[in-house]
Amino acid sequence: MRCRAKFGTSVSEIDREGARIQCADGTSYGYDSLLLATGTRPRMLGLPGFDLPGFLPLRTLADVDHLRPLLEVPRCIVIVGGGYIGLEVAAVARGLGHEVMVLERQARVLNRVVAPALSQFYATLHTSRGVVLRFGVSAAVVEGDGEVEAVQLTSGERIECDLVLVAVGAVPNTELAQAVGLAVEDGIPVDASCRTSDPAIFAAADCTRFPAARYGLTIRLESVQNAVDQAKAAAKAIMGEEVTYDPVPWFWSDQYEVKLQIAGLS
Amino acid sequence: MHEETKQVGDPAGGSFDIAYLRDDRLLAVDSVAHPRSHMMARRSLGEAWREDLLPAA
Ligand SMILES: Cc1cc2nc3c(=O)[nH]c(=O)nc-3n(C[C@H](O)[C@H](O)[C@H](O)COP(=O)(O)OP(=O)(O)OC[C@H]3O[C@@H](n4cnc5c(N)ncnc54)[C@H](O)[C@@H]3O)c2cc1C
Repeated sequence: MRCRAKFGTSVSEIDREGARIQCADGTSYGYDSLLLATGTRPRMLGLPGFDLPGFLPLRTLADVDHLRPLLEVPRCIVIVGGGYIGLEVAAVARGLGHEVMVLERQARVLNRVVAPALSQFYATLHTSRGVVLRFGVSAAVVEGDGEVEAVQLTSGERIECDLVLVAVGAVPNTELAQAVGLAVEDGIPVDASCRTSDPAIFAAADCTRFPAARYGLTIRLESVQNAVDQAKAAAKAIMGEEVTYDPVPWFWSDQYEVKLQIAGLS
Repeated sequence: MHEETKQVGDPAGGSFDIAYLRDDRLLAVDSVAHPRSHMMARRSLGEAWREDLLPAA
């Protein structure tokens, strides 16, 4: 079999009847089977000030390339979001000597994913390294004229800073699937063989919602484990093999010198 | 999903685990600086809880 990769254009349409995809650059390709692996994109805060250069999401290599030169001088950084990504970036930024404050809307870090005792461990770890954690607060406005000067909270409090990094979760890229009438519900639902509601169209990784039989739930995962293993399952299913994808989810997070590893879903 | 958690080891000592249980069975384990328990956990999900299910931290 031959494999061809094409970069720099997006798939803009799917013609299910004709089994063809249409790219934004005008090219079009036929398919026997189609795999959607469109991933997620960072949830953005629709805050005033979003166009200031020091107000950045944290997702892609391009985001990091943009951020790196900004970290060459001492900065006062506000990170919005006390999830894994916000905390990992906080650890790195502290390690580089920057001043770091994390704003978290909930009452503890990693609220969505871990037990309170673990949140407490990470709060203590970050505080002991000089990160300032603020709970129960939300950013309302990013202020500045040409560059970031402060974040204003919904309480009215103003926090001076010169960089604002946003890590408040991700949303699955399901628009393409939705536009052609595939079922979509916070992810593209697939069965245990990675098939969507169209038997010729498969989906894998971050953009999917799939049955986790061991938990009796449908789930959406954002992890390398799932991206790799579900992709393999989808490839087998496309080749006509019987597959039942029911993984043991696992995940890791490195903060300072401490490695957290997670097996299963809590 | 979990109904109960068990802590193995002491956070003050730097490595510890939190096990999440439902109906006394292992749903998930968070291992902090304790890779051995993580590898055990990946093989033990769904098993009934017992004190020696995870290695001592
Ligand atoms: C900052 C950060 C840190 C992370 N850390 C960890 C970690 O420590 N451990 C872990 O397990 N996971 C981690 N993850 C999650 C992990 O990166 C994702 O689960 C994984 O990348 C998902 O792979 P994917 O292929 O589904 O999606 P993606 O990697 O998002 O790739 C989707 C691709 O599809 C392209 N695309 C979308 N729509 C179209 C279209 N219409 N036409 C053409 N192309 C399109 C996008 O441009 C993108 O390149 C992290 C994620 C982030 C953002």
